[in-house]
Amino acid sequence: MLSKLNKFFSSVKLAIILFILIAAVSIIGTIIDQGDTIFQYKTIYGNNVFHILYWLGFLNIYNSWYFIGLAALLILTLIVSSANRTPKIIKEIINPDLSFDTALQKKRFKAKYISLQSSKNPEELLTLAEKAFRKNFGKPVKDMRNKKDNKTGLLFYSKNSIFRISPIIAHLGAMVILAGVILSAVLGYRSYTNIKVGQTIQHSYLLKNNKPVLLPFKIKLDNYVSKYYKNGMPKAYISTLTIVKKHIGVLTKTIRVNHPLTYDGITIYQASFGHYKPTAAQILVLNLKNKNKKVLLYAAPGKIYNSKINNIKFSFNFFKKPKKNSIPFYISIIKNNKKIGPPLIFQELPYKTKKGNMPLFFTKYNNNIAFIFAGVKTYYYSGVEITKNVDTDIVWIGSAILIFALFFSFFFNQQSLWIRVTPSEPSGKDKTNKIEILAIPHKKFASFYSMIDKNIGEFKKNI
Amino acid sequence: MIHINASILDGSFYFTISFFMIILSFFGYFIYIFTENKLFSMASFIIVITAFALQTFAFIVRWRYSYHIGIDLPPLTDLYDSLVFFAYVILLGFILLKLFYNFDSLGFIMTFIATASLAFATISPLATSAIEPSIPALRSYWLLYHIISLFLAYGAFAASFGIAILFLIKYKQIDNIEQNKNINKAANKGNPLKFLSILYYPFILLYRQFLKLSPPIETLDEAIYKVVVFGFLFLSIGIVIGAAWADNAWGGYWSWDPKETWSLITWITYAIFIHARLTKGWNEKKMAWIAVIGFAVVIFCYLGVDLIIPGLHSYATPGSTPIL
Ligand code: HEM
Repeated sequence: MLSKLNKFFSSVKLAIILFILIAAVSIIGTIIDQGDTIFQYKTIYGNNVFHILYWLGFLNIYNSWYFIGLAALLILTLIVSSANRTPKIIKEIINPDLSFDTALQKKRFKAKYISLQSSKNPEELLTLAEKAFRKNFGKPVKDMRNKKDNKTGLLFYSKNSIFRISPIIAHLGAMVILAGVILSAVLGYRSYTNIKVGQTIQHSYLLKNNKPVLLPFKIKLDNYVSKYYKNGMPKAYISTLTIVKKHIGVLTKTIRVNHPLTYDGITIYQASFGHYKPTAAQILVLNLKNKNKKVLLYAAPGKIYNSKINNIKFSFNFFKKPKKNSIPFYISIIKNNKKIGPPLIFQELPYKTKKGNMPLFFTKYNNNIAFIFAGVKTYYYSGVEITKNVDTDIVWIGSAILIFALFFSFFFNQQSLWIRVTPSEPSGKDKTNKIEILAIPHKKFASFYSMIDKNIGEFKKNI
Repeated sequence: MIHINASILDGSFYFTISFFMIILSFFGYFIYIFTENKLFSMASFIIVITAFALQTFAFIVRWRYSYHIGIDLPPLTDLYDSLVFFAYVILLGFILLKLFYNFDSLGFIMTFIATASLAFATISPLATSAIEPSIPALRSYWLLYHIISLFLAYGAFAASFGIAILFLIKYKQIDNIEQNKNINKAANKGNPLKFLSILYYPFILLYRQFLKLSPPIETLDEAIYKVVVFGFLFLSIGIVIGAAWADNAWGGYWSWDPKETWSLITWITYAIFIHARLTKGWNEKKMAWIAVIGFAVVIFCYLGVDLIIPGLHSYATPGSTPIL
């Protein structure tokens, strides 16, 4: 039972089937957008289809039980097949099976076998064969000539046999990568948050399910700027961040795309930017009696502000039902917490600037004080990705091992060669000796066989 | 409206010239296949080498120009650049293969792929040769190595596709050699649809000539394998560089973006190829088929994903929203 399971999980066929299934499931994930909101899915697919897709796990397919299950099966086959084959291969490298006949039987399908007759004596034949194959095979690994009786003899060559471990190491590399992936998925997290300029945050939201994570420190966004090329394409997004620990700013640094900040095992990446809906109007208050006295205020609708001019207080409001083609906001003057007088309605004045004509919204109170609407205040925010990546190093080490081993398994192939001489029967009349050559490549390459043919041809010429 | 990318300033003029040269060499190989006159294949090969040299020059011009206009990275990121680079590596692959294996019949397929890629780059309104500053995420040297590595892989996969086509044509012949005689006899006995053969006769002729000129099937099999593993190695390197870069730039080495996922699917396809020959019952023919399918996957990963599925990596939308 166990050995059957063992065989099942080390079969390359199973590995191929798993590869195909994983690819097929991955394709689904590229057709259906992953990680959209439920609302988006419902508008795209409709309610019913949405529920089916949800039930099938297609909306978060790379975290679905079957995708993770397939990956786990692949890891299992990798481990079982490696565990099964590695000892055998290492044994073969250290202590190769020299038997001519077993090799011929087992590897017939890729072997080049030739048997020749010659009247030359065995010792001489072997020396000639050695010469013919020296260029491509070097020295024999095992030289089993019986110098005394000068009769049977066997030369065994094995080229690149050490590289038979490269596929093992390639699989090891794949396992290390997968281990690193699992570790970083279990121990690390990827999260996302928006920080307003001036704001300090301590929570971030997981990318996969929007659950909040408490960070071990606070992050304050001191400043945010976007830089643009002349044609309007964005050039850089730059945030200045301060790491705050126990109310003390411990580190201030700017981050840009490709240039994150790492502190305490946590890395903060620039990911996006934007602005919130305006929350306050910018009001310039002018003292008409004394032009030098002016104040710029950010007025949230409905709140009371002091103009600091004759202690006049005011509030900035929107009309509930603005008339068409009229300016929708107004100023109220406040005394003793009560609005006095009619609302001060803004007038539109043409105003020339260097960039062209711009309307200016203007109103005044008692010829004393003027209010100019100078725009709305927008709060920029910087979208940052906050990641705890504990074990990516393992992934990189695994990748390096894999790539290294791929190189050696692809470009260094083992090749074995046997040369055997069997002398004729001493009693026989014709003194022809049999010489057999068996060449087995690890991979069936045409170039290997043509190389062997060439060597054999050379050898034939000499005997 | 057809517009042709041909500006001396940004170097696209030289690519356009090389495009016409490659078309010429394609016809040279075509004539070679029918006449078997080595002169044509030799002339075509010389044209290919000259076009390759011209493209090298054009890349230098483009690179210098992009520095000149204040972009400190070589231009490789938009659709035009990537298509001309694709043609470039295909020609490089063909030149190397020709030097190693002396496949003249491969020239016909490889120059065809290069022509298609250059035609797309030169004529398609989606591909503009103007060098645009790239968005912040793409301003990185990681990108350069990522792209070069992947394109070496794509070039190798294109070559393996070409060789696999030769292989399958040849394999069919061996398969049919016995049956063919009988079929031919039967076909000649007053088949009412015989006149139709005029339509497909040129293809049969082409097919026969391919058979005649392509190297032995074992050599083709070996070449497919070697070219694929070369591509697989660089595909792996390219994916790892991309992951390292993403980790550096976005804080995650893998985010299942469609392009990423398709590169994994490509990788899996060729991993199947590598393991297929270790499985009993999977002969060389199946391997050749995987090489053909693999190239279709490569083309989808390279162009299909951009044109069909929007994602982080899109080339196809010049000046599109920031990729962040
Ligand atoms: C997941 C990623 C995998 C990678 C990157 C990988 C890579 C490789 C490579 C490069 C070779 C050498 C091929 C050659 O030299 O011709 C190989 C061989 C092999 N692979 Fe995999 N493989 C993977 C998964 C698997 C799995 C899951 C199995 C499970 C059965 C498997 C079984 C084998 C076997 C039996 C060999 C032959 C070993 C030998 O030639 O000594 N591989 N693999």
